[in-house]
Amino acid sequence: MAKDFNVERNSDAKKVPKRIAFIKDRTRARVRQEEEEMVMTVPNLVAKEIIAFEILIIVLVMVSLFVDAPLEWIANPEHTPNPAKAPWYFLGLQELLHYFPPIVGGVILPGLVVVALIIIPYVRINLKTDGMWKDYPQKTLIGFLVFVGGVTVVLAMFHVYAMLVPTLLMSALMLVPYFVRREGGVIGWLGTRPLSWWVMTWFVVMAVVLTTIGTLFRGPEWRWTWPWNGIY
Amino acid sequence: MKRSRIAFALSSVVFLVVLAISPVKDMLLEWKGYQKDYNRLIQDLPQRVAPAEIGIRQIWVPKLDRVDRCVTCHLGMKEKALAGAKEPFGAHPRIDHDVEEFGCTICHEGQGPATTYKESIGKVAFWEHPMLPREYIEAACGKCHKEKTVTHAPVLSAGRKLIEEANCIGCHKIAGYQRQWVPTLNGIGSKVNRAWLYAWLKDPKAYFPKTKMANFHFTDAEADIMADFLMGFTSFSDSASLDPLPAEAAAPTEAAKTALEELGSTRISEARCISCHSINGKGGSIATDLGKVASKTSQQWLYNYIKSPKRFQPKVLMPRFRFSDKDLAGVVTYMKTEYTDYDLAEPPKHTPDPQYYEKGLALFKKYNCRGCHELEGVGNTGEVGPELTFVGSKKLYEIDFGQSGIEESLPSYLFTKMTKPRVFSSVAKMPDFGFSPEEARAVAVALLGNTNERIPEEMQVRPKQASTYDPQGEFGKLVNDLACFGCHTMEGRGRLVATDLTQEASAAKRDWIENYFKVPYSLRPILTERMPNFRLSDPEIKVLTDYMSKVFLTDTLAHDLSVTEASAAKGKLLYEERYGCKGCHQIEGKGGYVGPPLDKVASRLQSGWIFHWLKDPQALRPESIEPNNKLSDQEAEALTAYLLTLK
Amino acid sequence: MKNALDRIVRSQVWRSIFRHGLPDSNRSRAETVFYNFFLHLHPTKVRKRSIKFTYTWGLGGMSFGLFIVLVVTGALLMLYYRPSVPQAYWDMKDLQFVVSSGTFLRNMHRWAAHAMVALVFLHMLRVFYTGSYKPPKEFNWVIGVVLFVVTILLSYTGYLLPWDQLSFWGISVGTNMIHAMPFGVGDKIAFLLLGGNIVGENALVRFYVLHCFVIPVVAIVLMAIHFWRVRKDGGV
Repeated sequence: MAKDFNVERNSDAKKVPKRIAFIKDRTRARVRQEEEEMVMTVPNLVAKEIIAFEILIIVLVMVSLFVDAPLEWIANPEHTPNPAKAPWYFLGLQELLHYFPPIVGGVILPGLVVVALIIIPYVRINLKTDGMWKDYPQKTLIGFLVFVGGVTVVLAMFHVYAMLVPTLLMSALMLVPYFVRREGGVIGWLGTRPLSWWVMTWFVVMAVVLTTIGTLFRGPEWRWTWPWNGIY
Repeated sequence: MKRSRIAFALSSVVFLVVLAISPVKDMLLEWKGYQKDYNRLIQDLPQRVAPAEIGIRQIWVPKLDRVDRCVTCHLGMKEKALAGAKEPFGAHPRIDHDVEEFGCTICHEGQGPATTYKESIGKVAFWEHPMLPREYIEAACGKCHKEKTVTHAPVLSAGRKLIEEANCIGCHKIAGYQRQWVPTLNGIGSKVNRAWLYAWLKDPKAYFPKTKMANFHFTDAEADIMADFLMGFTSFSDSASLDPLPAEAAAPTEAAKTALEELGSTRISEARCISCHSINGKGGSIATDLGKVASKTSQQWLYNYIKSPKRFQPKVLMPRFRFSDKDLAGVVTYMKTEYTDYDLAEPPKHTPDPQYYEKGLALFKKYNCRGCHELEGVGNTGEVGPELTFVGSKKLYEIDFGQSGIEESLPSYLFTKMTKPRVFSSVAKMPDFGFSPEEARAVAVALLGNTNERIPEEMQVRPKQASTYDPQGEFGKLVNDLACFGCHTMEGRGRLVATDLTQEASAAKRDWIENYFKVPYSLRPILTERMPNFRLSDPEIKVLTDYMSKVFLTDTLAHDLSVTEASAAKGKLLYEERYGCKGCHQIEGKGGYVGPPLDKVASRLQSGWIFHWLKDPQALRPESIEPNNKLSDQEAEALTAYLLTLK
Repeated sequence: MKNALDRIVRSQVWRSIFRHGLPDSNRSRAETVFYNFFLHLHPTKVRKRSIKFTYTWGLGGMSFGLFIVLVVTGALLMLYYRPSVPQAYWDMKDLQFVVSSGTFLRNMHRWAAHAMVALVFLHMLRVFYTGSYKPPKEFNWVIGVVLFVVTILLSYTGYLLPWDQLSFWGISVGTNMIHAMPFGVGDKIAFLLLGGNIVGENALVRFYVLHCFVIPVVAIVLMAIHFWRVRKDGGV
């Protein structure tokens, strides 16, 4: 049978914008609408909310009963404690400052992070749901290697091994699905992760690693100390 | 549905219970228990004591910026009935300060705002001032009382004296202390011999146990370098030079030598050298020990120095005795024979380090010898130690306890610093002053009182302004030459080894003073320190007595009275019976030894002085131990009349 | 007893306050959501799937819960606090030693604040990994990011208030980072924030005002918009 049309199967709306549905005789034409099961907000949701809130407070009260908020010596501008630490959520930043000049660690990097977070929904890369190696794997690989190489050079230059090691580990993880094409399993799952997922995860890993190091592993003169030798 | 209802009910109940825990805990606070205990305790007392209302109590002292809640539990502070009751309810011992006005922590330290035992003691994390241990409590007096001797605070006063005497301000800046006189090192190479210097540097107290010089714990090599360095300084200040020994010193025969020695021995005991100097530990403690001085220095130097001390030590408080060359020859010959240390060890053989000067200078500067000793050509290196004016406010986190392992508190730090000055750091340079534990504690107490707390001006007790009295003219020259200030105080200046002379002409009669200069004798034979015989010439004595009778006079002390037989008899009765004066004073060999004998007192003292003295001895001499018997004017006049008969 | 309750519920006063009956029928349940100010952000009916705990992990809701805890405990703490040097520190001591449950209040406030920073961050991650920032919810994500920054600022401004060494140097270290901004902008901003060149009494007052008034108001407004948009975009 001669065909005067071409059927391409693809779920990607960008590549195959128009779709034709063939309805064969055997199946009845009907749209299967998924009927979402609805429940009343009161009491189903509200009860859950209240229980969650109560449990939250119970936990908080128990912590507050047994752990006292710190109160150190009265402020003394003439004596800088060693090390002087910011609150824990800034210790990642403080750790960055240890490696980079203040303008980079204190202004540019945190500024970039906030901007990057804000523009996430407006960047097309974040709307893609395909695994990062799905389209143009070669091109992607080159871009990827160039980027990782650049980052490696910069981090090595400033001796930021705390960032470099996790970065390289993650890069290796990213490359696994490129070389081992497999459906299913952990590798298959990794292969379906889009680029935006990798970038965000990289950011989270960095934030967690730096904050942990700054909080637990830094002592006088911002030297490396093990937590069991005292948390400063 | 049912499950979620149960979950809802359960979580709500737990929620409410948990929220109630903290308010319930508030009902069981420690201090409430103490207050109930107190109310039970007072019920058993025979006296009526008002029960405590349950609630937090506090003393608020705005001018000292303190809120002290100690009285929440220390409820019996002012109840005499509770003297000796179990703590925390006992009454406070009587003190001169009202608790309501001063609060508690200004003296005791600790955490005033706290309402639990542990927190109020203040030995908790992040509290700077835990309660002062009992043996350091006088430190608190020092915060407001800045005068040198604080009544009722003997430890503090002793500590301040030690700080002044040890010349701590040579290295540390401390407000309120006077620099001490320390011998200059100019010409030391022409004064002492190297063997002595080496031994001295190694351990000064081995030569003279009471020396103020501290032990720097020099190594043998360092002591060698320092000795070589110092021996190089052979020229004296103001280009003074040593005269040769007089011809009289040459004793060709044994007999001549013995005669010289006898002369020297007589002169030495006449001059009462042991008033100030000790001989092998026996004698005065104002000046250095002479027991081994002939091994320290040469006869020639001794001759020159005794002849005119201030030529070599311009500010020394040693009087210039009017010895003839013959006398001096006898004195130094005697000293050579008697005051030699035959056990002085020869220092180990050594070849001088070729760089001994540079290295010696570096050591001299490192240990800030210049802080105490003058040395020509070496500039002032300034204070090398930390300032101690506010050391009592030092924060614990500013202290490096090193590996000392001592209790981490400021009192224990300061105490240890005094006993083992270099225990906290291997690079510490502070020397060892050889303080006994009591002395170390006294110094620590005095230092702890140096705080920067803001004390209102009206609550501070400031030391008296240092006297600027400086007599001029002939009298002034003599005072300097005889180093009168070394023992006597005049117009607020000088030491109080002997009498304060400021009112001497109101006290003693001129004739007596003149005679006293000629033949000084001790009024109190039990004292070591005695007025030496300077062998003053008559014109010199006239200069002294003229000035004294004009200047050392207080008009208000004059009190003429006529002696009648009746009044003298009444006085005698008072002397012997009513006031038992003979318990301490002797007349005609009968009576005690504590006070001076009163034979011939009428030829010594002015009638006004006796009268006023009897009325209030401490008004005239605060340090006097004569009891103030609060005599009436009539009684005092009668007693004076009796004493005036003792001519 | 039941009669009396009925009469109260039916009284005009009661009905003027609660315009719906007890939520015992679907109608009155719907009315409860509809007429109640606090519940009206919710739809009357929700998809069963979306109220499953693991659907959102309740992170946003719990963050809001912590915010309420912080407002309540914060208001109580304000009663005992003076933003001046050194009284601020002594007020902390008074909270500990004389205020009933003072330590407990301060602990609650402190730990809730730390927990809120963590929960808001986790909430942000959850939203990202479930792709919930995608159109049409882009702008709500932006508001969320701003709210995250606001949360950190709230916690950070509160960090100075106890006026102990931890506060003082924590804030000093943080504000020193601002100085790194180029062209003198950083110095200007730091000066504006601290009311001087160093952390002192002026800084304490400014941080107090920011912590207790300015930033909470901003947060409340942003939260209102945030919740409203969640609802408009089809969420619970």
